Amino acid sequence: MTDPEAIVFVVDDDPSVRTSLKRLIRSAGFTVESFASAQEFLERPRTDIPGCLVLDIHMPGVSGLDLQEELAAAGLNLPVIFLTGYGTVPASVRAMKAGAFDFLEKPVDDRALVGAIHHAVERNRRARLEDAELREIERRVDSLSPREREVLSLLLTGMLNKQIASELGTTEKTIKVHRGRVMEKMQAGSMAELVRLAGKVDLR
Amino acid sequence: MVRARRVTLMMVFAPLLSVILLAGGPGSALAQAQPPSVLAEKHILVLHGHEANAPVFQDTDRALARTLQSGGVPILNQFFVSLDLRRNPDPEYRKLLVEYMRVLSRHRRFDLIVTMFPEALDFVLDEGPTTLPDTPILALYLPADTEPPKADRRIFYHAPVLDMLGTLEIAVKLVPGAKRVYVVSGAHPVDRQQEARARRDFKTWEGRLEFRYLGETPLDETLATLASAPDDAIVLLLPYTKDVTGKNYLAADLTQQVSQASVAPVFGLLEVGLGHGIVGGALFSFESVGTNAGRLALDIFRGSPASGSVAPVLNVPAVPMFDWRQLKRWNLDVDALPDGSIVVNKKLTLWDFRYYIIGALAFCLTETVLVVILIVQRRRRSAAEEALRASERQLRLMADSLPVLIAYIDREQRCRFNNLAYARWFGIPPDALRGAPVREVVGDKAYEAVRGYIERALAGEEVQFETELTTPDSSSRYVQALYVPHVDGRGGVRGFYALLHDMTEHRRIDLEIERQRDELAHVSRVATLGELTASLAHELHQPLAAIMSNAQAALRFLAQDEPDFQEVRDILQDIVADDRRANEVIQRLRLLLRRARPELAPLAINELIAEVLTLLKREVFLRGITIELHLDADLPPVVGDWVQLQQVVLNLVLNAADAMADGEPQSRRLIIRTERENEGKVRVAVRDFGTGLDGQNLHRLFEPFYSTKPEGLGMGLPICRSIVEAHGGQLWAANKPDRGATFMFTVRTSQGGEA
Repeated sequence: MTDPEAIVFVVDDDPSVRTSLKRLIRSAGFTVESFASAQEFLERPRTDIPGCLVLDIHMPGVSGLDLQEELAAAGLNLPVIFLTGYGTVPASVRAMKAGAFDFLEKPVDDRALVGAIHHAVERNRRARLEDAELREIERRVDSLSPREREVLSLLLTGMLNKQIASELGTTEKTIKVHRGRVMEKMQAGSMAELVRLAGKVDLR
Repeated sequence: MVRARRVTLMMVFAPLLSVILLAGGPGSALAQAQPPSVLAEKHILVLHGHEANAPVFQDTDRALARTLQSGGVPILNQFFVSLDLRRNPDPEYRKLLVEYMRVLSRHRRFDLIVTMFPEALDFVLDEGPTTLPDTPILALYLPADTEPPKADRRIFYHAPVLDMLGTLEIAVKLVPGAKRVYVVSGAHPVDRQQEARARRDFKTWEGRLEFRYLGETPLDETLATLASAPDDAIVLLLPYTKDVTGKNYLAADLTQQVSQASVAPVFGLLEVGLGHGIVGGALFSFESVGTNAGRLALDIFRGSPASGSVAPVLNVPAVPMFDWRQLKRWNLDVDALPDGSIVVNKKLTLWDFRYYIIGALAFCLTETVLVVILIVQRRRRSAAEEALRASERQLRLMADSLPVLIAYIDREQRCRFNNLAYARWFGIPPDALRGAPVREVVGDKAYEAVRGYIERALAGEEVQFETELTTPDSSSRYVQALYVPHVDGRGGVRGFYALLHDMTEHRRIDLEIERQRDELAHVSRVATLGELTASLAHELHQPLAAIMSNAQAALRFLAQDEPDFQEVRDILQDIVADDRRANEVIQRLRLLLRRARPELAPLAINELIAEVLTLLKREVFLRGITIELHLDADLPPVVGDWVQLQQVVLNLVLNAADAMADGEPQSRRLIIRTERENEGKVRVAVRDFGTGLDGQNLHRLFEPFYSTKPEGLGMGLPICRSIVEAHGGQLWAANKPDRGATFMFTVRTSQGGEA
């Protein structure tokens, strides 16, 4: 069950709660880093390892919710598991709306917490992978010449080479060459694959 | 409040006591006039016509002798001889008397002869030429209508006149509702003569009053008539020596019988009746005769121009005299007494007067002191007694009407004086106390409670104390007491004055107020904590959450193939610490929530503030407030109730936090300062940087139900103030010139004040 390839961040102002959470998460096999405040966490250099954030919803200074919003604004895609105290329903609602991964009531049940962390990390990992794939596709798209992009767009509409050639005012042969380059640059083995890849990105 | 009352009591009594003590000292030189030497040589012979032990002679002699002596005629030069002629008509006896007079006058020359009753005057006039020639005569007690006989020497006459009209007038004034007058008189010719005079004198009154003359009825019948007299009746007692059945009566006895039988107030004409049941009247006073005779004698001796023209007739006006007990018995208006009235109560002795004065102690003290001196030193009775009796009346009334318990206890711890309140309080008849041992009066339990104080007072110490006393009827009362030792001129303690004030009711009310304040404080505390529920619950949740996570982590570590025991050990230690922490939170809350009577104890105010802040930590954090502490580390302990003072600090900090709720996050600063004040006090100040106080409503801040917060109950500050004031401190507020407001309170230190 251990996942040394993931990192869990714990932010809680209460030292003993922080320590205990750190221990619990570590006992589940995760690498844990803990912070006394949101600021402290924000100052930490970003890593590229999948992980998640365990946050106390009420904290002095920048609250858990503020941090969540700040992370989202910075485009940091880190799932947040909120730990809530007593009577924090309105805050929980806000957290959910802002896309909290989960929230657990203190004192937190270890299986629930560990389970949530696993899921969060998994999702983050997947998200990270998807993210990487997208960026690759975008990179491939970016490598296309303007003409090749035009050809790709028309190909995706289902036109035949002949139709594309007439559309662009050139010969079918020329289009064939462009098409071959597109397939190559996009690293698509078939037309179907090209459509799948291109569907993931916005070409406009 | 209690203290103030006690001080007042002290202030009233202490100086008075000292004045009274002075009064007991040696007499002053007041009224000791230097006798002119010419008077020291004068000799006077006083001859009684009848037996010497009759009151008329005794009283007249006493006043006469006193007047002469105070005028400068030595006692040695005053000769009082009882001729006793009424009982001894024997001529041989008379011869012996003449011889006696001759011997007497051989060795001295008499300058004046005073005779009493016609027999004595006749004796001198008949036998005098041989034995006592030419000496002027002052003839007292002659019959009213007798013509003075011719004689070849100066004779001054005195014929007593009973002031019947005067007495009637007084009686009618004292008993405004009187419609009927029962005139009681005897059947002796002299008695009949008086009755006839009365009928004459009272003619003018017949339109307004109905007179019933009882001279013709035997005494028994008269008494029966008086016993069934109507409500609007008064009784006038004329001289009564014999009734129609021929039975003789003595004035005192007869007066007593009449007064006892009568259901209407009895007025008289003779001073001898006073003290035997008559209310009083314009009384013929033997003493007054003696005093006036003495003054006339002095004038004659001085040969002053007045003496030559001295009226041959000595007039002795009747004196308005009254018996205090009778006035009280018939509930007569003392204010209606004529000016210059003498009010007596024959049963009171000088000793009593002293303690009445001491007991009431309040007014006309200088006057009373003078009077006492006059009486003790100079025996100028008529003048002094008049004043003394007047003061006694006032003092007695006062002592009895004072709600304070007053008593005088002597060295043997016996009660020598007590006022009405004292007797009532101990449930004992007012007169039963005198001379009774204190222990018996107050009961064993109460005695044990005050015994130490009694001993201290008798050792000469002024003792003031408050104590719970169990009265003889086993109820428990709370009293304030002041014992002032009575020290005589030589510094010996003769007894002490005990002044007691029953504070049970005051104390009960005080306790009730205190109880209600505590109750209110409790309710307010609970309400305040209620507002903090979320942050307080968080305080409790944190350690519990930590414990849970730690325990679960430990289980997981132990389940591993190679358990990390060091880690588990650390975890267990943390669990213990967190459990402790949770417990402390609970204890703190329980302390604040419980309803307990406040207990004053020395406490460190800085520590108290720190604990309040621990409780508020979360709240303060959530509100984004920074707290700065400027606590004087050298403060002495203050005296107070831990919980209530915490409540005050808690309220002030929360108020300050509320005041800054709308401010910029950077300006949410709160400064708590403690510092020593003079006069044994410590000051705590809570300063905020909020909007400040509304200057116009500053004075209303501490009023109940005044609140600037929409959800505020307006009870926080009033309760804080009442708590602080109950601690002997003050709570106030002021705006800061730059920004925000400061709330300050003071609290006594254990060194300062009276704690």
